[in-house]
Amino acid sequence: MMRNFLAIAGIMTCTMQGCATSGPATNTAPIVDFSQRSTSYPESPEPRAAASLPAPTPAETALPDRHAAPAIESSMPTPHDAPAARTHAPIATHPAALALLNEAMRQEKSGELEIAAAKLERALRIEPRNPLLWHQLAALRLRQGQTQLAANLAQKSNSYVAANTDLAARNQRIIDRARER
Amino acid sequence: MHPWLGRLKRRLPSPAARNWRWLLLGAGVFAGLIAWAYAAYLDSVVYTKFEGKRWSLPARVYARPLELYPGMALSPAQFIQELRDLGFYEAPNPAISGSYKRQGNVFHVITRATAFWDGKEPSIPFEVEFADNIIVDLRHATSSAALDLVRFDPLQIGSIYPAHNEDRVLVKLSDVPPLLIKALLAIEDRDFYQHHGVAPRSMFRAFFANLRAGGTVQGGSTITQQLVKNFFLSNERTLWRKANEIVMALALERHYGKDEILEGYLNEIYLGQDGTRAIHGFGLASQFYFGRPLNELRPEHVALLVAIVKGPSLYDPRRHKQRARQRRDLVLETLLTLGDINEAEAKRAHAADLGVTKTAMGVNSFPAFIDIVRDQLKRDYHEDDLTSDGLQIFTTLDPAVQRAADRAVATRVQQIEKAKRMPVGRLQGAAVVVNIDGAELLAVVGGRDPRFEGFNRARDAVRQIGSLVKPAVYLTALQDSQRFTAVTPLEDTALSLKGGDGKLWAPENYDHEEHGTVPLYKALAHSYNLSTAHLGLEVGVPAVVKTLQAMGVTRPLPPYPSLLLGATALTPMEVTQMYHTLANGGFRTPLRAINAVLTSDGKPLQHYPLSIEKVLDSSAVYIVNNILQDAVREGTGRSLYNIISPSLAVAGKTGTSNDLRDSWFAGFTRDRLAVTWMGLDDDRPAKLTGAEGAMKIWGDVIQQIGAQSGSWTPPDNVELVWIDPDNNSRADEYCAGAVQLAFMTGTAPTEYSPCTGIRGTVDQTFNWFKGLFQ
Repeated sequence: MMRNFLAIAGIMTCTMQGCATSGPATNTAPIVDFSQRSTSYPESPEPRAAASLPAPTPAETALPDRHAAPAIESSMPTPHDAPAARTHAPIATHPAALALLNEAMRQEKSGELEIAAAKLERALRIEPRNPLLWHQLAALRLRQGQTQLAANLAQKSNSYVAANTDLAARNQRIIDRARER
Repeated sequence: MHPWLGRLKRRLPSPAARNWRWLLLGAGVFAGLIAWAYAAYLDSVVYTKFEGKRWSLPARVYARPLELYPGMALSPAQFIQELRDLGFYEAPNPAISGSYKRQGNVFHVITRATAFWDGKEPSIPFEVEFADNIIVDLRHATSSAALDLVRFDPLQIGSIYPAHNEDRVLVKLSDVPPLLIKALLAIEDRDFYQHHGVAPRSMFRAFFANLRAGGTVQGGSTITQQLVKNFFLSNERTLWRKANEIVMALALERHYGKDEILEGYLNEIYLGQDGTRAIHGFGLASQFYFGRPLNELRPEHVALLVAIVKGPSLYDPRRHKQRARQRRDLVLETLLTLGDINEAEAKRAHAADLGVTKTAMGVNSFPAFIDIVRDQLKRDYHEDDLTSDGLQIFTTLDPAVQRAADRAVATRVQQIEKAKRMPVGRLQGAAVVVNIDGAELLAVVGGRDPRFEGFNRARDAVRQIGSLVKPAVYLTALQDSQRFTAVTPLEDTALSLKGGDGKLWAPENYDHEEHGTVPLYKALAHSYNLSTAHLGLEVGVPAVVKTLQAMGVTRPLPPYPSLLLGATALTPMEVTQMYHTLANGGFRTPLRAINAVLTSDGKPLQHYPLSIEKVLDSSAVYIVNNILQDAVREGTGRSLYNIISPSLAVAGKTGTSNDLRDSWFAGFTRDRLAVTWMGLDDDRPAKLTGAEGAMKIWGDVIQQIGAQSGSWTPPDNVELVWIDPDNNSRADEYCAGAVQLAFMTGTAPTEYSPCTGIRGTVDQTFNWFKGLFQ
């Protein structure tokens, strides 16, 4: 009896203070703290540079496949996505990994793809759980025509990133690309 | 009669003498022809051999290069060890590559230029500062610009030799320090550039000089002759051989220029012996004696090398220090006399130690790992290419981890052997350590004696895996989240059935007890055989086989119930591949020992890329890994925390096979996976459980190498729920004895345990309330 009374009292207090509940379909975009997901050294004193998602690589936006598949790279959210549910938070990246990432992207542009891949693997040794690095490697393999490997790497990237993020969507595009073939 | 012949006839003596002279003349001409033909033969031998001589260069195998970056965990002591391994030496004012200076926690270092797969790394002078065993600052020494990353040249850990065990570090004449050439010519062949292959004058001069000096100060053979001797001929000291040598030396000089001959000599001259490996050439000798490249040697080192030329075993600087030092000083004297070094340099050099390293590093110090490297290379290269083209193999080995693993295996095996009063030297061990995300092999230990090049247990010991198989059974079940969760009750009761071979299979628990109804997680954490058997039979042995294959097991598996308790045998490497898929969240990646292969002059040849495939449901994997954490905290692995830090999150499985023949432990932290084994080669029972034997090795290794202490992030559709073990209902962290288990969202128990008291009631009512609005 007493227990139930206290319970109801508690609930009423809670409601009056407007307790937030967790759950899907809210209006506020949850701020995903990527540093929690990609910590390599929890007590690092070094400041972490925020790496913005690079512009989609040509491999992701172009359609090099032979099938007449509809374009998927629209940046408009598909109907079932809540418009504000995607986060565009930059992914905190260790400066050393970032430096290698930038070099890799430069080398990718100049066509030295396997060298770029090696640089990304080096970056991953420094920051193994950075989803951006995995994604870049996936995009690179896609560009080399290794679609299955690209999709696998994209899935690996997804395992380090929340589902409702821009990066996850881009990973999904790569995964879908492999399924088509 | 012909006039000419007539005149001849008149000049000749008597017919008898005439015949005799003809004979002599004929013989002489004949002999001359033979000699000429022979000389021509030697000439062609010299030509073809020298021309066709491309020395067989064995492939060189390197460890992973050390890379420094701010925030990296590294102690100054470890850093110094790495520098020493690479042959870096301390200098008051570092000026050339390969030198460093330490001032407290700050190091000033100059790296060596190196070619890697992804580009050339220049020589960089930099400063690095440590604090609390972490790099806190890294900057360029001259510009003071902050550096993101610094990469060192990799440590050579071995070579892949051809059958005749030759090795070279080829040097071009232009690469050789001028002082070395000056010293060499001064001591061995002063008139090198003037003579034509042999120098009778210097032979005489040497003879008298030696007479005067009362010892052998100068050699009479020219450099050309010595080259011929080393190159072609055996070691006999006969007149016949000397004659051959002279002819061939002349022939060599006829075909090749002085510089070519000198360069050949610098690369060919025999300078030492390392077991079965012959040290030829100054490039290799520099590495062998001083652990450093030729261009980093000081005058006293150069003098010592030239001193050794006369007799590498007689003047072995490691075995005959006095003698070697005396001859070195002689060389220095000569250099001073000729004005090639000045008084001050000579004085300093005389006073300096020999500078020779204790043992030569890099000669297959890690044979077990090199075995794996060879395996992976064989798929892409012929044995011939490997042993003759001088390929550079860049591997994933981490020398610090390898040493720690070697030590841990050796120490624990000895310790346990003694404690259990086993015959000395029989108990064996093995270990494999990998980094998880990159699937890179960091260390491979083949036995208790790390230098032994024989049986590589990590790769070749096929042993019963016993309880190590269990996670595969539970993983199979948990993939069906509607039927099985972490708290699903299992019957830990006796069972018996007919195996595939017709025999009766009646397994027992380790403690020979039945535990009744137990929740699934407990059955795995405590490695109960009976509940595992029941569970396995429920999901079906074929499904478990599929899981094992998904995890990367390629060996044929017996499709019988006994498989559920590990009646199958794998090598430690195979177990590592299997557990790696768990540690990697359900992603299968083939373990790699090699990153890249370059040609002998640094051109990229092949890159071994990371390959990955998602083969298991990551939620089910997470749940299993979570239970394996419990196995280490409270289950069969709980004594592990006596060895490692209690704050380290570890998921692990002990493995004990039938009759205690094999002691296994497979465990991982956030970033590192290691599999260890202990047992007897003759397969007799070692009478050790996984926790008593292999797990101790594991603990030592991880404690020594350090590991990231963070714990795993659950996938999106997994939640961590506190459970009261008394009734397997929901609890919270304030309940005594509560455990936090992983569940796929929506499958956790909804009932609250009484231990939560009012908190539980509030939560329960709240959830009911919430449910009204959904």
